[in-house]
Amino acid sequence: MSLFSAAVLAAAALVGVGVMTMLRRRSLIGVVIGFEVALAGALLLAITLFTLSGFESSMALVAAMALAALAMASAVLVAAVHLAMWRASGTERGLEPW
Amino acid sequence: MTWSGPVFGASAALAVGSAIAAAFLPRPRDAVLALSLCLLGTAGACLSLGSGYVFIVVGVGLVIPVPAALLAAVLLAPPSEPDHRTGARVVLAPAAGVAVFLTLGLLLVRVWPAAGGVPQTAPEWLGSRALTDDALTFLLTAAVLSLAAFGAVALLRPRQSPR
Repeated sequence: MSLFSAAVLAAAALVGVGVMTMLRRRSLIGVVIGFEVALAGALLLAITLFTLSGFESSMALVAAMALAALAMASAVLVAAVHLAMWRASGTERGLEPW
Repeated sequence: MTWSGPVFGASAALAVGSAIAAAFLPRPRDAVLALSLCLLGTAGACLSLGSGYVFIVVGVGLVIPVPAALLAAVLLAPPSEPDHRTGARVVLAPAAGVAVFLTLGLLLVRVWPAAGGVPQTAPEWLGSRALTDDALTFLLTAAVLSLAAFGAVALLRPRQSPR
């Protein structure tokens, strides 16, 4: 098996496991864990397809930057939403005063 | 024998194994730690594919900050345990994962063009593209990061204390 095929299969496996995690988990944090895994797979897929194929290979860097930024933004936003929901529910007094 | 093959094998095994662990571990904080290892494996795979710049970006920007933010949220406000759905989703979720894997993996291996040309993986190419052809992508990326930062601050700003 060539490096190209192995890399594509590994990236596809990451995307598949990410989708599975998003469907399996109940909590918002669990779903975003799956989303991050799927984004890692998409990033590896972009690097593999554009770098190893020699077709517009600088596009790999642009796609990787955009996916990494999306991963960071989604993690920060979901963590904030999770904490805000928990705080609004009033079940944990230890979070107040904020 | 070059170093890229063994490094790619070890990194891909770490990434996929940690991703599977993140899917099945019952405690959310263990799943977050598995996510960190998965991102580390992804960064190593990018390095072995010749993208050292992406390795640095993923390693510095994703491996520590993303799990740190999620771990802080999990420890401050723990979600329910076990964090798994029951019923039809138990069968549906792995089936969907396998379907995505087969579709992406088999189709892309067959239809993507063969290797050729000189790889343009130096950071200078990223700067060149970000300022010319992909300026809109660059602006949208900055906008998404800014929106996330402002949204997080707006959601978690201190409340007014009652008088």
